[in-house]
Amino acid sequence: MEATGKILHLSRKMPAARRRQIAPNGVIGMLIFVITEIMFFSGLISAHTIVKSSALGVWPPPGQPRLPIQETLINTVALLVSGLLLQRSHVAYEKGLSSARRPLLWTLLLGAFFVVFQGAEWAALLREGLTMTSSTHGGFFYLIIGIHALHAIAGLLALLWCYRRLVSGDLLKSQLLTVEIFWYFVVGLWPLLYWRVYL
Amino acid sequence: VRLAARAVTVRRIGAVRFAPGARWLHSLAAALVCWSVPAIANACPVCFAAKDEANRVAFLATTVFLTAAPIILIGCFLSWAARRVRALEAETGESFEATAEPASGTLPTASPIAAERSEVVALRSPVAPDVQPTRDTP
Repeated sequence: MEATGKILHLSRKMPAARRRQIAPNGVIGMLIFVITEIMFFSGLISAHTIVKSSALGVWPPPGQPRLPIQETLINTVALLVSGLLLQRSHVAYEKGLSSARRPLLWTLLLGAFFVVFQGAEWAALLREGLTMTSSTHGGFFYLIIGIHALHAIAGLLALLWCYRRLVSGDLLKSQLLTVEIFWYFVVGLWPLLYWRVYL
Repeated sequence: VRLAARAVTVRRIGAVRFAPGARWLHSLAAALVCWSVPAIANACPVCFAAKDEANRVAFLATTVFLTAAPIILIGCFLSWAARRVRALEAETGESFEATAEPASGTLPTASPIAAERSEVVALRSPVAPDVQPTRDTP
């Protein structure tokens, strides 16, 4: 007991180590989250690659509808442009909050276009008979692309929150950067998914 | 003579009788059984699906990819953190080694959050910042 008391007494006297931030907490947290998400999608893409290579003959399996490659290419371009506009919004933020509004709004609109276009594409594929249970092709398509679409919707909500704060003048740079990291992940992942799933 | 006698002494373990000297025979028999039927024991539950060269390459590539990905990601994260520390050290001119807590009541001057809040205030109204910087450490 006496020894414990002595240690406690000493620890009160000893100066505590001062911690310093290298980046805002939101940015660090988002980076760690994105790392886990990359591993998650890596698992899905790997499983898809194995199943695709195991299929005897052609892929997609015979009798299954073909995915709309050209139409989705337009969607891909829209998403990539939205990423570029978000970067432009970041640069504009440095000059003033009001100048960042327009590129952020266009990012939001293009992101919304991507999600709506995906929804329309899914509706058409479902009408053609491609479902989760129609084949492994359909199962993987809806799983991988669907999860990415969920991420895109989450990113859009975050961008919308950013835009509202920007309009009211309360948006911090760290908040914008946190949302940016997530949206860049959504945008950067899409070409890889397009290559592996559609082509 | 004593060792030979011990080797052939029959010992009772549970309800089964074992001769200690014959245990290696059981091990050998078990090893022979395992060696003679290797086809039904796949190391990986999906390895039997490797039908052709493309499939084999896919297994190999995805294994390498999934092995390397976390290492690369964590490496990139740590490298970014190290570069960030170096940049901040160069910017503030202070070392990022653990130092003593400042006297109570003083606010750290090199707080990114505090600096950022001041920036937002300055961007919103370029007249005078009215928001006090916050502490970055509890």
